[in-house]
Amino acid sequence: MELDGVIYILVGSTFGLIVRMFIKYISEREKLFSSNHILIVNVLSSLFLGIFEGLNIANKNLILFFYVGFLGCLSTFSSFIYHLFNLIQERKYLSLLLYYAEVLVLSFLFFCLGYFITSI
Amino acid sequence: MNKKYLYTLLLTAYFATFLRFYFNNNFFISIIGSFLYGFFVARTISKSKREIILTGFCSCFTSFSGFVHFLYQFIIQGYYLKLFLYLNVIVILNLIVMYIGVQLSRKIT
Repeated sequence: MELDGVIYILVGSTFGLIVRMFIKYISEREKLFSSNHILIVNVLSSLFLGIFEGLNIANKNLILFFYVGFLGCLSTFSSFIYHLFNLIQERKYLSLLLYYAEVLVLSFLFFCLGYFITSI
Repeated sequence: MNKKYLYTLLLTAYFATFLRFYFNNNFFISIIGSFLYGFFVARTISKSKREIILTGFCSCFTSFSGFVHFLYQFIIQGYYLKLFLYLNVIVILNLIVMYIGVQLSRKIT
């Protein structure tokens, strides 16, 4: 991999990390999103991924910047699993099921939304 | 929030991103990430270290968009049953791995 690619990844991951920390900070301060910012982050990244897939970009540097760097650092899978794990430990099985369905359905819908925005 | 903390956070994020780029296998990555998350969540470490490891390393290492991208391949090919199966299997497997991580971490201390 050339130096160009490395720089693209670095810039993208910096942006992703900053956006995620910002959303986390806002949601903790304002108490808007009822305690979990992970849902917002993952749904947002699904929307971006839908747009990205819809545009069908072939530029390698743009893939490195957006998909590997930005979206990779913005979205998080392990925190999502940890939230589910926490709900199991607290024996809140109904809210576990609801949260699971919520994340998957919302991210699917937003992925489709992003995908179809580009084809208009 | 001081400068040193911010730099360490950024450096771990970069490290995690390059590690993810190097492995380039979403399933494998999510398993390892969940294990590490479970392992470090059960440890008693200081708050800033915890933040760096959990939100810096583990969260940047695993990616939800990679997971969605992985499932998207099945949608294009039209394997809807396979999509549903893989989705649930991956999440359940990750939960089990995280449980193992937590238990292992408690055993060691």
